[in-house]
Amino acid sequence: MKYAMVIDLQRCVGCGACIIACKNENNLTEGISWSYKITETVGTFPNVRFHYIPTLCNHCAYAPCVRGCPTRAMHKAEGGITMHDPNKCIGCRYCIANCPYGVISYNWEEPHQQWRQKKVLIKDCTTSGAEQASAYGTPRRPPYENPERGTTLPAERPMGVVEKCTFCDHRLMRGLLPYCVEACPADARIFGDLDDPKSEVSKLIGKYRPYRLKEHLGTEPKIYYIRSFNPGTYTQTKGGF
Amino acid sequence: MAASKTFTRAWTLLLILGLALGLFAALTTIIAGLGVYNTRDVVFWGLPMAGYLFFGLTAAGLTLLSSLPTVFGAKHLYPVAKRAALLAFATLLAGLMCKGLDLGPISTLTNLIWIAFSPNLTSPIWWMAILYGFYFAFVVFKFLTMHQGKWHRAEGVFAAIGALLLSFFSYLSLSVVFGTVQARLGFFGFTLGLYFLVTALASGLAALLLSSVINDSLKAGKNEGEIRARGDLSLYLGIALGATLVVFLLRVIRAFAAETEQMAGFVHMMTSLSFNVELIAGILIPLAILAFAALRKNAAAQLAAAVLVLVGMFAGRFEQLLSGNVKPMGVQAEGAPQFIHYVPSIYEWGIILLVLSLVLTIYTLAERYLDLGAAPEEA
Ligand code: SF4
Ligand code: SF4
Repeated sequence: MKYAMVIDLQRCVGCGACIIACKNENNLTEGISWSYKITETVGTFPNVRFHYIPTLCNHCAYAPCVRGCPTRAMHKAEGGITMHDPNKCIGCRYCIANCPYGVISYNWEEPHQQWRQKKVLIKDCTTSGAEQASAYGTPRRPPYENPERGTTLPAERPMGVVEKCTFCDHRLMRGLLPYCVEACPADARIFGDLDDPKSEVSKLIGKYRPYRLKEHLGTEPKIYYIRSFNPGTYTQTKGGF
Repeated sequence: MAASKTFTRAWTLLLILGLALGLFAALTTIIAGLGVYNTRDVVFWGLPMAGYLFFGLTAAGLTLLSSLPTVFGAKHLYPVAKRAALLAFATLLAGLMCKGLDLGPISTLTNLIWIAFSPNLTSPIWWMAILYGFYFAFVVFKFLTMHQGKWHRAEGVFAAIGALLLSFFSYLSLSVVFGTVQARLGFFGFTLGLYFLVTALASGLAALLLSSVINDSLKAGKNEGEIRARGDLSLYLGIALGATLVVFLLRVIRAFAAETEQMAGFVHMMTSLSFNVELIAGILIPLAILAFAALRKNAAAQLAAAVLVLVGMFAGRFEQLLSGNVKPMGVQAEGAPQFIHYVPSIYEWGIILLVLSLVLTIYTLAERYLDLGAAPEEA
């Protein structure tokens, strides 16, 4: 089993649903995104073009974050998933130094502070967890997190350790797709097993010429990008001076 | 001690104040976590890490100097060797505290047991942790053997050789930590090992020279042997600075020759205060002072050169770290400025204040009670 994801840039509409879905599924705190994007504008007006590249941990086959972690907190799990064990993490942030893609985050603060807050966030507008609890007459704040995340990782990662995308390993073990794949309205994220030649990911990689981020570093990312969104046409020409 | 009572009282008060403020910063960090620092996911290592590098590498230079008489028979350094051993202990302790206080809150610090129970032999950080652990033990052992006058007894020689080898391997592991970060050429890969080597020597020599000059000015009777040794130390410091300048220039040339995006952080840092303090105050001015034979024997010139080198080397550690992480990497660059403007928080400065006060307290007490100028009887 070798998990991989193909991201079809022609299908991707840049809506960011994957980013939000990931935050909800994995109980991400403010300021942390396991799934994100790279946007670039190239050219000079009026000849400009906008690129939108969805990103996540590449679950590299030769993951420098795993190689450098002193306690094996960052480790390889089934299917080539790069997993993190917060109970073993010493917070050295060497994995952040080593990851060429910038997809690892350190929990600098106590997570979900706004939810823990006792006072009103915006008067007559938003409520804190404590306010809701008092409105419902319950002693505890209502649960905020998705409890299913807690099956393989602490549902909320504590302050002082790093965290990153896990390919939704807690869903994979139940035969479900990663939630970003599920949530994508354009089916731009395609997930599967690279060891299976009949899987959709294997077929797409064979059909289109894929590229991966920073391939020259030899990390063997498992996120493949195919095609590009380009509705434009141009008049056939040989150029010239 | 010839120091006046007023001076002693003022000094003691200053140390207590430094320790108290520093302790407050350290306790806040341990309880509230690293959110009180201004480091974040782009500049993920900042001032406390620079403190670790500065004190850790200074300790390596001092260990070499303290081992020279026992291991290589450099008897002219007898009058300063015990002081170097004590300073190596104090600076190494300071460095390790900086690193410890850069990990996280108490809940993260307890995870350190996994270094022993879940080792990763491919991790340079794991090797660094283990080697620095043994190195620290040997530095303590070495000072004890020297304090007991057993410089040339079997245990003294064993401690000296052990500390020397471990300082070498620890320094090497530190270089590998940065050297193997393929994604960040701004850390300068394996050439950093060379830079660490020459600067470790320079800062170790400067720390020893400074302590010796101050000690001499506070004591009533002059020690001729120590004055002569200081002349030698000044010469060695001049040579180490010359080597540092060469390696420094190599870094600059490499950054421009490589012309890669990854060197942009270093090129950006070249306009920073820390870079210029490192180059001008830490290398060029002291090198100019120490180029004159007469100044190498002058206590005021020695003092000025040593202070400048130490300040410059500290700035250099800071610059070297930021060169590798001031530029957002990969997805971190999304919506971020081209370079992050990082100014350490008062808590980060508090950590440096704590360890500096600790080094000075240890040194002051040791100078008073442990006869740091002592040499073996055959000297
Ligand atoms: S993308 Fe970064 S975090 Fe993910 S496996 Fe690769 S090196 Fe590790
Ligand atoms: S921060 Fe945690 S996961 Fe990352 S290298 Fe250090 S111990 Fe490993």
